[in-house]
Amino acid sequence: MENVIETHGLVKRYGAKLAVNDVSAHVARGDIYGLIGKNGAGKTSLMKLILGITYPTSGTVTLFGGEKLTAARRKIGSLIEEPGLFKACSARENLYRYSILYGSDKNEIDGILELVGLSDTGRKPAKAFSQGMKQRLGIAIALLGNPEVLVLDEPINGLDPAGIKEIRDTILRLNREKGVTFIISSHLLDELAKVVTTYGIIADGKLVEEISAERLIETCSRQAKIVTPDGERAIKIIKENFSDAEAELKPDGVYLYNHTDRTAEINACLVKAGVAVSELTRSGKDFEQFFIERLGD
Amino acid sequence: MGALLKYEFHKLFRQKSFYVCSGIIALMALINFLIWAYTPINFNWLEILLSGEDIPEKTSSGFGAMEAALGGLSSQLPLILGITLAIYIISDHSQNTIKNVYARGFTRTEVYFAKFIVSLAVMSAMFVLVMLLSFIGGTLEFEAGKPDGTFFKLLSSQFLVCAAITSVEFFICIAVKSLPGTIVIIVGGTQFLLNILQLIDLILASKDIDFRISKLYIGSFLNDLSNSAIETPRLIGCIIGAVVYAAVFLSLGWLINRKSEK
Repeated sequence: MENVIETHGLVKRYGAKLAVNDVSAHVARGDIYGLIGKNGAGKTSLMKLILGITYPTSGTVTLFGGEKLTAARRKIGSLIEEPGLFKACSARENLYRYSILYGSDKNEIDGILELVGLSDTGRKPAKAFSQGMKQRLGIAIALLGNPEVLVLDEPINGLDPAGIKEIRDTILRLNREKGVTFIISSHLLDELAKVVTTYGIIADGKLVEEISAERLIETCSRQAKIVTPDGERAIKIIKENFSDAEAELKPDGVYLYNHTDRTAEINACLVKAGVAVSELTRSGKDFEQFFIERLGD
Repeated sequence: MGALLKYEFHKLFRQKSFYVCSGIIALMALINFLIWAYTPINFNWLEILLSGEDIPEKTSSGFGAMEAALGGLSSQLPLILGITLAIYIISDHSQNTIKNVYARGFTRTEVYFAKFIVSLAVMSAMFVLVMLLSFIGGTLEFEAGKPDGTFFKLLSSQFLVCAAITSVEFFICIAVKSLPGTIVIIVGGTQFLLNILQLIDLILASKDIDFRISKLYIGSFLNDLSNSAIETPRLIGCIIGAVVYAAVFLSLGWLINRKSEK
């Protein structure tokens, strides 16, 4: 599938701090790309670089297969950090102002206000809104102009459970019905897991791994642990017999992430090669553990 | 650029401070006119007297009032204009709304010039307001009169200087990006700079050096240009000075803004 966003060796340095470190990310059309990482890992910095809010120290961003960045960014809606709101203005006036720039009309404004549940706020100024309402107005602004891609930084921040569900449902509906591509950052794994189709795991400014939700589920739900005194040799033998095997040596044994339905065959190979196997168990890997391992301490 | 200009003008027209500041400048223009109308001699008599020249007769008419208007407002107009521009320009940064503009692919250069065009429009509106009120006042009090040979020359030069002042204040807003900081610089900094220049002038005079550095200060251009008896070299100097101020500060602001990140 065509990548709508690609970054190539993106680096952003703030003085001595490397906020984004050689990130090459790939977001396919129709994806809900979940950028997960701890606070300060570089999620927001990466999003700002994609949107052109900040400039990269080095590296490049390619949008929609290489369109001119200024033109391509007109097709991207965003909510980065605190929503940028005209605080003295109503929700409708906020949307109207941005609609002048983004090229949307009154009907679209009405529809979006309805969608985010702010249609009955009347003339109440944005500064009098609750945190959740401000967040929803920020999302409403991002939705203006029918963007093909939405970049949402911690979109459920400050929302109550009902608000979180509304935003989640909206994301899923826009993705399924209109094919909108999303990049969503969060440090709330459980919430991301409900919508995301691809994960980008970011730690200390580095993109540690990109993995599809399907693949993640597969990895987490099925793994085999082989306890053997000669782990390195065990991996070598497994790979000789199963060339695409994904095996990893850990202090407590060898972990195998595929071919887990062929453990009997694997055991036989190892024994035949003279590798003692004291334990071979199949288990589901803890979803959270998977990320913790990659996100670091 | 069209959408950006429409957006910026919409924001300006919805900004209460624009109307409040315009009201204040209108009030000041009226008071300034009354002072001028009841001053028996030329408005800039003190400066002219100090320069050792003869005090020319005041042109008591609507056109005369227009010519003299900015002389009396030479410090007030830049102040009010600066405050209006600061509120208009910096609100985008303080409310973080600017990132929603950059994120949709509008370049820093486009945003910069759209804001500058709107700032020039604010200045033009205030300029026209002052001139209109002065003309009406002068016509009601005396007569409409006829523009003399220097009238259009002086008025267009005054407008050019106001545009240069706009560039300087626009630059301060873009560079400082904080409303209190900008207002402190525009109000306090200007006064401080003037005092320093006056001090330098006194030192120069005490050393019999025939050069006044305050003549290079943009505020002094407005004073001099509101005097119909201004000499041609000074008129040309003011025009060149205004162009240099505008070019330098507009370019500096653009260079700073190009690198701005949120």
